[in-house]
Amino acid sequence: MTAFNSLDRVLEWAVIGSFVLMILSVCLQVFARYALPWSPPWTEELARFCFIYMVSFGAGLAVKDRSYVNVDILLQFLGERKKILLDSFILILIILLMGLMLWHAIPLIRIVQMQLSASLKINMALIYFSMFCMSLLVILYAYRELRKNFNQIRNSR
Amino acid sequence: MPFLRSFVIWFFAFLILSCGTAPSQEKVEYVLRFGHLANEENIWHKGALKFAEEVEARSKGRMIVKVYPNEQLGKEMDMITGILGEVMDIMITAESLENWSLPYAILCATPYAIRDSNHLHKIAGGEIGEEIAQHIIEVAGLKPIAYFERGARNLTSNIPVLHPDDLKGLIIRVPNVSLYVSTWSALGAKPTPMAFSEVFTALQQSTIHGQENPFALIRNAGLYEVQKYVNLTEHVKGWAYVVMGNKQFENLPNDLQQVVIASAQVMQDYEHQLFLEQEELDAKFLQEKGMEFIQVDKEAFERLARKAVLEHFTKEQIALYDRIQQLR
Repeated sequence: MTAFNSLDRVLEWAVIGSFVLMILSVCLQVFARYALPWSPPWTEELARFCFIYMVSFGAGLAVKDRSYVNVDILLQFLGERKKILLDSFILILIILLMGLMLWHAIPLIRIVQMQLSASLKINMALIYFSMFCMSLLVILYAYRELRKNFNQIRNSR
Repeated sequence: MPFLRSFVIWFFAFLILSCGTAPSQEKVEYVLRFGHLANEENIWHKGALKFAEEVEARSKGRMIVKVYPNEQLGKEMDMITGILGEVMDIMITAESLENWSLPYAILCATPYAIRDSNHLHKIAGGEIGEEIAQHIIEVAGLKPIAYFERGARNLTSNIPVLHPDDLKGLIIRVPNVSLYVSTWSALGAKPTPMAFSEVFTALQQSTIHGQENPFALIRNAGLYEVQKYVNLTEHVKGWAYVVMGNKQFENLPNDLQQVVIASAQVMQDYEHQLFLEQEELDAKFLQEKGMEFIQVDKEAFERLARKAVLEHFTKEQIALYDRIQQLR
């Protein structure tokens, strides 16, 4: 599990980094519009891309921290064991959905390879790659939670 | 209870069966999805509807076109991705194509490249237009089936701008196209790229002092409420392409390909007719709303803008630009 722990650290810093970069680029635009003779055209785009990557890095961590919005009215009625079973079922569904996204992100990345972003001139494949990243990370973390659930069931016996 | 259960079963069975038999769809072999950015009042939408009508009539109902206005299928970039991913078929686009490894596409919205309507039709409908279209098909896999003339872009502001010198310190909103940013910098203004949806509020709060767009857009966005002058710079005369996915086009049988081409031609002529009428109506409307039209020193603008364009362009783009200029 140490590999997972260092992945946690890396992702946390990546989320913080892209968040700070987003704030800075927006501040730069505000500052430039009022104080500088020329304002950079690429800030909106940079902020957008930072936001996208922030979400895609954070999506996996959110699975770990259980910070997704969920309706737990049914879960509360169930016993301990059934609760874990239902939770595992939900995790499997998440993995299936993300697997689907992973699969379909690939042709999309191939299509946008020839597109450059309007002002930063970054290859858009790099931006669409965030979809791939996100699905992969969510799958990883959901799998880890699933393992935890299985261990819990085995130990409770 | 058994009664209730059988009722529920029959009810759902009925629902499912009634979903299966969609009415009068058996004759339709092909459905084309046509998305664009404009609203239902816009002449682009009317053109698109005309196209749908023509296609259905000419193919005797074998092929229909569904029109989705108002960015229903996504923003311009998303629609291009959609066409290449084959989830939709037709859209209207222009200089944004530049970002799809299509450097020549910027020529359909280059400052002072096109002199007037006549010149535009000679270019877009002529040999050079054919070359640009071929370029778009080969590189991006999009097939231009028609072109729409667009109204000239004019600068609006709250002080009269007669000469580029008057632009000093003026913050002008420009679309997120790097060529426009460098052109307005060269003219002496301070260009700020901004999403069009924010322009009205930004003008109201003096975050920006001016913006440049065709009459139709100035009218639709209600900018006459916050701007006093229309300076007739006419700095960009351009056209937009109606493009279809080339793969989707090739997949049609030969006779239906002919139907698409012929209908597109009808749409193009119809839209142009509407455009000429609308342009006059829009100008009159703006004047009635109290906007003042200013004749500018166009030559001074043109001189400075041309220099900026030439600095910004690559060698190949300049070659094409020169050929456009030389055509009388």
